Amino acid sequence: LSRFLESSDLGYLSWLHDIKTKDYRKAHLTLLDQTQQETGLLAKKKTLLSLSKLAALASEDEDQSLETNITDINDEQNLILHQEMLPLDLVKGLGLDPETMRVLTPVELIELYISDQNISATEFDFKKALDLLQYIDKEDPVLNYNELHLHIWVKAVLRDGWLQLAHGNPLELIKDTIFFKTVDLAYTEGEI
Amino acid sequence: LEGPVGTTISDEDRQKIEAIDWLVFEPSQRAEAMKQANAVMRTFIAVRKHAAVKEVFGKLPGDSVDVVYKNWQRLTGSTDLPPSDMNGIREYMCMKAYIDAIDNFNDWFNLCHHGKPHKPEILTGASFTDRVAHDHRIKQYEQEVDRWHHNLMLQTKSTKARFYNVLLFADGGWMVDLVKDDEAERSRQLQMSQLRTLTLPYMCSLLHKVLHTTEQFTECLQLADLVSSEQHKLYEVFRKDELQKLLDLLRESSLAVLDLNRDPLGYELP
Repeated sequence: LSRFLESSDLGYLSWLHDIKTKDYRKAHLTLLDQTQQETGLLAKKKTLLSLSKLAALASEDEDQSLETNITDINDEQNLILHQEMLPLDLVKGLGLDPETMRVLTPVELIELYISDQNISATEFDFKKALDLLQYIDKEDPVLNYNELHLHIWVKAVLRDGWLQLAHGNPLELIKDTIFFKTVDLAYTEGEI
Repeated sequence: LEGPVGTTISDEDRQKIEAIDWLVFEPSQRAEAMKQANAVMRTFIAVRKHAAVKEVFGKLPGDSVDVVYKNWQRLTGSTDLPPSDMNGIREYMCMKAYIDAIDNFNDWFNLCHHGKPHKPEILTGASFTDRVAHDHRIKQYEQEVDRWHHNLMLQTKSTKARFYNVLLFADGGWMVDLVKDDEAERSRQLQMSQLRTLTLPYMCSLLHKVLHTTEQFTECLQLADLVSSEQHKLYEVFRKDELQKLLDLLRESSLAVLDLNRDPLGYELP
């Protein structure tokens, strides 16, 4: 039966059989495989990841490869969390329904957090964009990590109308800018 | 799981419960009374004597948290409670969340299994007038079923919310102290962490039962999200065999939803 499930396009069912036969490692792997194919629905991808993690944790064998997989799943879960934490107004403004959102890429998430459409963006949104850089492959020539990194800071600088700041004590005034607050936040969390 | 949970109270339990009366007599000792009541409730929760937990909780007057704050302020002029009182109050809130959840579950259980209207029966060979009367009764019965189903869904919703209150208890989780207390008794710490491992997996299975029975299969499967999340780290209180049991439950929900011609997680098939 398991060979039948693997060979046909019924792969999405085979984890049910794996759990029945108490082969949790295999359930974990087939579920993990499913998550990589899922780009349609965020909620569905999340549950597939969760099930895969639980199956790995339920498995009696403890080895390096399972642990590495769990760490990877945690990273993925964290990425999903970033998408779930997108400001509701922003998501609705784009015509998306949080319940049926598709899976967004890290670059898309960064762009959304720092976009002008995110009207009420705070330093925390810019910090999240910076955090999301960890999901960008530095070697990928298409994405260009450095440019993206710079882009986030440019957007942070441009958030404030610097011309209106001219009067008064510059050191005090600057503390209210998004740019300053983002630097401050990133600095206190030890990332600069 | 056969019925409402933890309804018996023995004579010995009764003695422990009534001892609390002596402690609440003097308002200035309320902080101590709360801690003692918490300790008694911990032992009852451990053996799943829900009715007893509830009685102990009922012994503490509703304004107890307030009284503890006022006493301390009168004594020291400060509103910053010492760690042991802070933790005592938080534990008391955890108890309340737990009691609310189990009460709601028991109400849900009764409504689901005993509240369902009975379908009128008709004897074979009934006369014409009997059949007309029967048709009328069937109509009434259908209305009652609708009403019952509506109430059941309301009760399900409230039960679900109460369970999430416990499972996702704010700031670090159910039965987890917020402030570090260097003078805290070791045994209390141990009991609290044991209660987490005893109670939280059990509550997950009760919640699954509620969701599965009311055919909310997608939400059943989303219990996996709840347990596996890194923010709450609930999976840490599950033993391997408990995780396996949970996966079995989720598998059942998945099979049930497949029968409805959906994918294993309850979404539309592509």
